Amino acid sequence: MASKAEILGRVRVAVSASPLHFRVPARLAAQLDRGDAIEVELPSDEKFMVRFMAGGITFAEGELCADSGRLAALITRVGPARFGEEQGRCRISRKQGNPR
Amino acid sequence: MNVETNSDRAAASAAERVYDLCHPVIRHARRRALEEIHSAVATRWSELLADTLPEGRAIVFEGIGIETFKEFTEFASAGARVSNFELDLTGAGAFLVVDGALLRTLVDARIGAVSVSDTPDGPMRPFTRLESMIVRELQTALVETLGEIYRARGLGAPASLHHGERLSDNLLLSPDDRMVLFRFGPGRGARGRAITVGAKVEIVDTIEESSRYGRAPASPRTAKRAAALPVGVDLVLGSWNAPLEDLATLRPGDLIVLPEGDDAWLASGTVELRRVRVTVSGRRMIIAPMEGSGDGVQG
Repeated sequence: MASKAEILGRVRVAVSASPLHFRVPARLAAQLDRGDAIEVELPSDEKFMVRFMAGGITFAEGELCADSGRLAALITRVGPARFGEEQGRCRISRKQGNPR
Repeated sequence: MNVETNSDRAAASAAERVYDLCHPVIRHARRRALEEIHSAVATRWSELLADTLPEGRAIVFEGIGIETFKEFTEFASAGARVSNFELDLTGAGAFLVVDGALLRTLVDARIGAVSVSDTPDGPMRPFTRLESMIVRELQTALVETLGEIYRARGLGAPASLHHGERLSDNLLLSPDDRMVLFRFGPGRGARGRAITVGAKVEIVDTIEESSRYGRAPASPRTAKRAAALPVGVDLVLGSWNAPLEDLATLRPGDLIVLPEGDDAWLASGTVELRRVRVTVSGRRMIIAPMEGSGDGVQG
């Protein structure tokens, strides 16, 4: 009989990562033309947070950062999401023409 | 013992019609394409008959209707001539009916006689043997012109053409078949119907939607209200398979490098809507669509 550790090592789950503080308004996403972009700006005291989900459940959160040019997340909390945390105060706007 | 009367059967029949879920549906773009095609047919027929139509008259496309074959045959005018055929692409039964009064006008013009067919309420002279041959020739020319346009627009060409006087001669259609009807009038205030083309409603599915006519534009009011709906989509920064052990041993301070780099996608539920590239700079994040990711939707 397989041990608990063996089972945990064998079973794989689909994990996804999404920003914690905002959802992009569907209207804004639909309006995006070539060269446009969506700009999200956080209040001065906040950082972009990422939630990690498996099977629709948030199991960890972390701060979004750049690691050698790749996006990465530094884990800050492990466990289910707390209710109401996803309401951010960020400003989401459409920038016409590529602002980069 | 239950006795079913005629009125019971009539009531049952009416109830069946009310709850019939198989009524045909024609999407707006296809309807516009059909209207465009048959307006072109009317123009070509007017050119074909220019020498024989009364001064200033033309064949005008009036509109589209849907009826059962039985309903149409009940109201087909007396003296009309019928061309039955099938469309070779789909094998769908079809017909072209030319009104008797119009035929009398065309035949009289062809043989130089004074036409009295503009008084359609009066009795119509039957066609002589020679006149009947002219009628056949006209019917064939009308079907051939229709076929040229149908073929060009992917509806198929008429095949197994058979002229006659009765719609019921069409062996490809049964009374309950749903027909899409294209009605043509004699134009300029003239009374009556000139020509009707009918085909099994299935031909609508074969039509290429006109690129000029997309979906009906939503009213500005509806569009504004829809745009105001608070619907959001998720920005997904990456997705991968991980062993449960990794998740179980995850601790604050660990670093997870997202496998997609700066690639990400907008998603609604599990449906990927659009690929994007994400750049983070301090408190600012830029989400830019990737080339060629326009309307791609993946499950």
